[in-house]
Amino acid sequence: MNEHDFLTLDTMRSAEYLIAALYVLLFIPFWKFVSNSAPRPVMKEAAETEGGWFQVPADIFLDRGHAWMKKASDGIASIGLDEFAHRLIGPVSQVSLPDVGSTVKRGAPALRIQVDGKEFAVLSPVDGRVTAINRQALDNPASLGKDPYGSAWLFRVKPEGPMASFKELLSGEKARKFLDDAFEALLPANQMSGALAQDGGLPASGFAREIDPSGWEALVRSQLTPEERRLDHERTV
Amino acid sequence: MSSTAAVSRPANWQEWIRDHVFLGMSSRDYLKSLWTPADVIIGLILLAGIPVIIYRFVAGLGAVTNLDQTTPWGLWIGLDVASGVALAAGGYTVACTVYIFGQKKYSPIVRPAVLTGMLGYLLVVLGLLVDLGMPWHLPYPLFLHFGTTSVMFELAWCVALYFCVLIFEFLPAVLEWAGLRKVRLYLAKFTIGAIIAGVMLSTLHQSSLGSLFLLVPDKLHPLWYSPFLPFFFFLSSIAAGIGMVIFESSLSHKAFHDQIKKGRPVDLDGITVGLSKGGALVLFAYFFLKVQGVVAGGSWHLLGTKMGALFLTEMLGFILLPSLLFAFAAHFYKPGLARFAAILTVLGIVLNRINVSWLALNWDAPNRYVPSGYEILTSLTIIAIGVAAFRWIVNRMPVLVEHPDYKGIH
Repeated sequence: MNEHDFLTLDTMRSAEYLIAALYVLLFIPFWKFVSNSAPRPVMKEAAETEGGWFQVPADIFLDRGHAWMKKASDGIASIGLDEFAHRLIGPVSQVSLPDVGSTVKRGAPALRIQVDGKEFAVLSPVDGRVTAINRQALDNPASLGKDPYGSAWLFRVKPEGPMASFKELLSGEKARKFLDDAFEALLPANQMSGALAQDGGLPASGFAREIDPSGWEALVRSQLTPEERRLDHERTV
Repeated sequence: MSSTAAVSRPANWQEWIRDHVFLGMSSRDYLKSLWTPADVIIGLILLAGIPVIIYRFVAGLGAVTNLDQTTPWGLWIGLDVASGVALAAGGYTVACTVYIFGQKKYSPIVRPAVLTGMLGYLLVVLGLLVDLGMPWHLPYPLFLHFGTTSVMFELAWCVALYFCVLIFEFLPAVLEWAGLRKVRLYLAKFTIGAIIAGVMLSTLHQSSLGSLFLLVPDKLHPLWYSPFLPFFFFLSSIAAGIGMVIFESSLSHKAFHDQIKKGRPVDLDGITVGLSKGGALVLFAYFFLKVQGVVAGGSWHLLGTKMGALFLTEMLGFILLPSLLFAFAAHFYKPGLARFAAILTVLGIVLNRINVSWLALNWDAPNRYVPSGYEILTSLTIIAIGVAAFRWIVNRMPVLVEHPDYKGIH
């Protein structure tokens, strides 16, 4: 150990205690500062739940016909197609959206998408009046799958009717599990490798064709307009 | 078809080799695919460096290094061994966070961290072998002549055992790649035991690497010499591990983007910001402990000297600054800032290890050691071996993306 040129032993000990006390005093506000994080940007909420094939942002509500709804603070809801549906169908070639001012009914076809010359209806997750449509989606439908819960919203509605219908939508862990179950139900073990992207992980884009090259159209329809959802609609009508 | 997505076994071994080793290409196509700038640079370094390493073993240490009796430790110990051990600490830091503290959100980075740790230790072992020479003498300190009072003895055993533990921790990825499902599932039972062994061994040898320098109080500059050296080394290894994991994961996500985008989405920004909280607090504690070391050593009057300037650079620029940057990154959710702080942290720990084992060691000797070109080339070669191994493994085994057959299994 070196000699203490400037300080006597007592003064040096005092300096050591002082630094220790200073550390503790500063550590508390520092720790609080570090722990009190600012809220995360909304678009970065993509991985709030652990595990599974799909992630669903916390503010997204899913319908069993794979349309999602996200409500803004002004009460207007954005509607889009979930990640499962985008991966199932692959790049979209054309979108037909409802007119601004028209009304959409929960469980009734609200828009149509075209993939490889086949047309599919997508059911509305809510009742409401259309306030806006996404023109970028009309111009560049093939890019919709890149950001399914963000820039790929399709139209906006001012929701109408009973709020109870919102409760039937799935969110958080339930929504994630719904997508995982839907994927796994479609996936017999011997067909798994084809439906998955290389190196495993997420289902490959357009995996409906991998699962059933000849009957993929029916498979997509069964997912986007499931029997029980159509019946719901018919009952309400 | 890619190796990791394969479920059914290929019909014969040629097909297996083509799928699992040549990435589904013929050997000729595979060789052509290696014609990339990164592969060519790595190839050139290996081509130049491996003969130098062979020459070192044939002609001895004096033939390739500027080391002598006064300065027996140089670049290889400072960079490859001391820095390598610290930077490989991400393995035990992340494994402990996920499996012992239960922070499951960090699980996507466990395998890359363990792989980095394993390869880091491989480089440490290579660096040590090159530095020590006569590898056939290795069993003596380990098994035949127990020097139980020597820090070197503890260090040798800890490094050897921890390297084995890291291989064991990484084995599941290898078994998934090889399609050995039964063994893989059986191994899952030992995960927690392996993690605990890894944390214990790391605690021991990270600190004993610092203890090593307690033996040279007259050679090491007073600003760096402190009875707290083992604590400094242990605490800074946690910071180095966090820094290296952030740095490595952001690099991997860029370099292996094609592979990752097909996998389950990983919230890398969230993980980075979460890790930066740990980085901020650890570096903050480390800074104050270093200040305490200066006061306890009564050496603060040396802060005004040339070596003092180097010490202050390390303290303020590479410990306090990254600590504050990590804190801001965590508070304001700035993943980019956290990555910059991680780079500063990694550089800071390398600077510290180089200072302790080289620049501040024999600091007042009349003839200062400067590494030879061969030494630098050898160090580069060892690092290139690590980078090449990392790329080879990540391109084949389920490291950055989960194997679909083993979802949720440890």
